[in-house]
Amino acid sequence: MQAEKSKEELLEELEDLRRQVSEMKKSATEANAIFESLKESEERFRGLFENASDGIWAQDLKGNFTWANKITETTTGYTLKEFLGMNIAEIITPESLQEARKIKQRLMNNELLPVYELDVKTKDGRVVPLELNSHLIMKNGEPFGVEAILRDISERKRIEQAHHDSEVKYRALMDYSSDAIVLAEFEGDLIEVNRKAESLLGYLQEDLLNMRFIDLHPQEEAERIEGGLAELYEKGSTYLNDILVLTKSGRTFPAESTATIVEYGGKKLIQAVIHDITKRKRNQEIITRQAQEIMEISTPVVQIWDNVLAAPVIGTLDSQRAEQFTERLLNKIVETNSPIALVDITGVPAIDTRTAQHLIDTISAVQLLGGQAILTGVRPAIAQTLVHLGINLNGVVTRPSLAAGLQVAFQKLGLQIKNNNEL
Amino acid sequence: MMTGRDACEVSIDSENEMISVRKVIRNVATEMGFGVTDVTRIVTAASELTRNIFLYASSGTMIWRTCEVNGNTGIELIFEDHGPGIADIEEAMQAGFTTGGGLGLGLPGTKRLMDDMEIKSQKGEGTVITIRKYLRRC
Amino acid sequence: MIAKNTSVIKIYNTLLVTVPADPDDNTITELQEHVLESMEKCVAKGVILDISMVETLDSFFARTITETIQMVAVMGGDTVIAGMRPSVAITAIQLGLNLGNVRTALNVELALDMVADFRPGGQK
Repeated sequence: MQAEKSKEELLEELEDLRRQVSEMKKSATEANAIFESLKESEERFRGLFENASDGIWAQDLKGNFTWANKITETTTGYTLKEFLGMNIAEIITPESLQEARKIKQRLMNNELLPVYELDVKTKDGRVVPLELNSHLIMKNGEPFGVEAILRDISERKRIEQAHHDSEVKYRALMDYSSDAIVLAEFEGDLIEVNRKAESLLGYLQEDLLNMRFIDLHPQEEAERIEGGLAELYEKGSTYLNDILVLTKSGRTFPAESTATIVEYGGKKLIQAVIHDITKRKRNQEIITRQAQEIMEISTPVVQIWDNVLAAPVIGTLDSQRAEQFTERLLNKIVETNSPIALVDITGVPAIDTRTAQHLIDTISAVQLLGGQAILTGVRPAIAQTLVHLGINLNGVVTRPSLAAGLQVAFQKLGLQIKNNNEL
Repeated sequence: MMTGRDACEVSIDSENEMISVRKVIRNVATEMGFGVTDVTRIVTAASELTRNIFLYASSGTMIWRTCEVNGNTGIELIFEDHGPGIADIEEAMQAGFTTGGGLGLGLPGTKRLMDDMEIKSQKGEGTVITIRKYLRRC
Repeated sequence: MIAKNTSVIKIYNTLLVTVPADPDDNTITELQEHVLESMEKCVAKGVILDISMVETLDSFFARTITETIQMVAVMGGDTVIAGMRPSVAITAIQLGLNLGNVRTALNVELALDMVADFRPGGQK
């Protein structure tokens, strides 16, 4: 019988079947592996999108959000669940909505768009500036939606604003400063000047920007400027007092100049502030002159008779005044050939050891010269102080009043005063 | 701070140098604009210190220069010798070392004539005395 | 010994000694000897030291002058210092120079009056 197969044939068939089953099993495992790998790869991409530091959203052509990643929650304040039910019109400002419509139109025209900005209204009402990069999603050759990568740029905007504000403040400070401010290259070429620099120096800004730092001073100050620059390079700052500044008209005026090295856009520059001190100097001169005048007025030396000088001291005698007083008195004695000097201290409010010593020195100097000084106006209070202080007035002729002193002088000169009305 | 503009050194090794020291100082101080009394003070102080050098140290140097301290222009004189030094500066600066009497040091009097005086001395090493006088602005 | 820069003139019984502007220490020492020799030779009663030219009076100079005055006094003479400049007088006081109770006069003319025992301010 043909149906009858040999045992060997059956065994062979069985072996064959087993092999086939085994192969089927193997390919099923492989298919499964491919499936697993695909799944893993998708998860990886999803994770990438969802956890990206930039926001990503997708919307359909009507503007309804269809997909968004996790960061969008932080940016907009809406949960993903809320967000995916919303339309773009609901989350951006009216101005931005117009912009968004234009953008969509351009995308539909297949234009490649640069990065643009939109303002988003967050759930809690804040307006957050976003920078977006959008492209069209196609399905089966037709536009299907818009996908955008977005970034919160409020921090960047804030820095930009702060920078702008400080620039404005700096300009205001420069332009409303009552001092001339100039900015120069490290080598000395002027690159920025304020309004006061123009008015103080008499030049227009464009003139100044073609000048060098050293051109602002007359030739005779060249050495000091050089010294100042050397100090500036060495120490980072320098101060020149009472330096002459040259104006366009050739006039010079005294100024104080403070220069510092500043970093400006990574470059080292010299910033100099020039302060006109004409007025201050004039005032100082007036004060000095007046002080000198007061000193002379308060210690005048006058010849009141042949051979007799009177020198009333008014106020307190400090070392400097005492020196000047002595010098003037001695010179006057020599000049007028008057050996007798009445030093009157009626106008001295109080006497101390120092003042007394000054007076004694003056009287001693008069004696060395060949003159004789008589101390007058020694009031009771002054007499008490002199004795209490233990001041030695040995050898000094003293009298309580100028008149009494004059009498001594007349006696020494052998003069007599006669009263003609006595009879 | 202090900056020197002009300076000159005069060596002191005999009494005859006294005249040249006085002459140099008188010219410099007058040229700087000191009044006649201040010039006399400066020259007299220099004379005292020069004499001290050849009395106590037999030789030394005097350096003069213009100086600027806290915005005040002045003259600075430095007297240096390698003599016996001053044993007790404090004592030497006290009154009682009368200049009129014996061969006194005259240091307190010299100090009174000047605006500043600094003494550095090491026994057996020598002495450096610096004196300064400033121009008055008025 | 004759000092080079010092002139000594005798007027009646008084020696008029003119001190040079800037004498060195030797000149000052010589001046002392010169004055004392002249005192003896001229039988003078008094000495006028004219220091109107002197610009610097330091301690050595001052001491020599004081000594000379004392020596002249021992020899029976009277000394008057004449014509000290204001700047020198001020400096001398500040330096603490001690000239003792020396007689002084504004100038030689007044000094002559004093030595001749005329009062200052009398008819000249």
